[in-house]
Amino acid sequence: MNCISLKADMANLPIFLEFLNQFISKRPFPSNRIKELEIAAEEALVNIIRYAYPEGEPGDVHLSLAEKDGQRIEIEFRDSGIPFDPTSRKEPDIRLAISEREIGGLGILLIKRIADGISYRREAGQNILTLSADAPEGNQKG
Amino acid sequence: METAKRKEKTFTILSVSGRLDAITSSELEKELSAMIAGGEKSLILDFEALDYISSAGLRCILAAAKKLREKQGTLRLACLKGVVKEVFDISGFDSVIPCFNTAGGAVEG
Repeated sequence: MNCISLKADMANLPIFLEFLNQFISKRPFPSNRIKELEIAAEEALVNIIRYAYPEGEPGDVHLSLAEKDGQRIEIEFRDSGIPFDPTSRKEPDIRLAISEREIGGLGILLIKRIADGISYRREAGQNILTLSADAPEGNQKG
Repeated sequence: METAKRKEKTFTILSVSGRLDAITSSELEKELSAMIAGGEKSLILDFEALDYISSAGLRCILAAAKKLREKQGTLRLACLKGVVKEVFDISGFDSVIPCFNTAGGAVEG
């Protein structure tokens, strides 16, 4: 199984990202695409680490990686924290002048733009966020 | 993440290399805050050797841009490329902070 479960702590962020990197690097993704997916995963993980659990009482984050039909990979994040659906967040207005720009929501915007697919469900007290990335053209196994 | 500082004309150019992620961005934020608090008003961030940036990196750049603006200072960015350029495009930051192809170009404005 390609999964890892660790405390929602910033100190574990590099371990999660290294785990993801190991998985994607074995597949035919260009190096830029691998970095993009790492950024999307960082944004999802940081949201969970910062906001899912009460301060000082971090629960677990579960990251699992799967290859589907040789066509795409799926990156799934699970936590048992407060319900949070990133897909329903309003997107920030990126046209505002610098003095009015706020930073909230940029991480989710990056996730949405980078992932080929995003889905969220709340199930048995867990937030389950799934990002998918299509295999590059020409490398998809029929 | 590593930084190196140099002066060119009235500008201080800070080269940032490696990764600007949720962990390393706070180091850059501290460095930029100290520079601005120390009177730095004309700053160029050179991203030639920057491989990776997440929203935490954007956050610290926006914070620096706002602080400099309050002091009538200038922040320019140079050498955005690859995934770093993409992140700036997505966030729209490339339209609120002036970006240049080279550090030299940023000095000339």
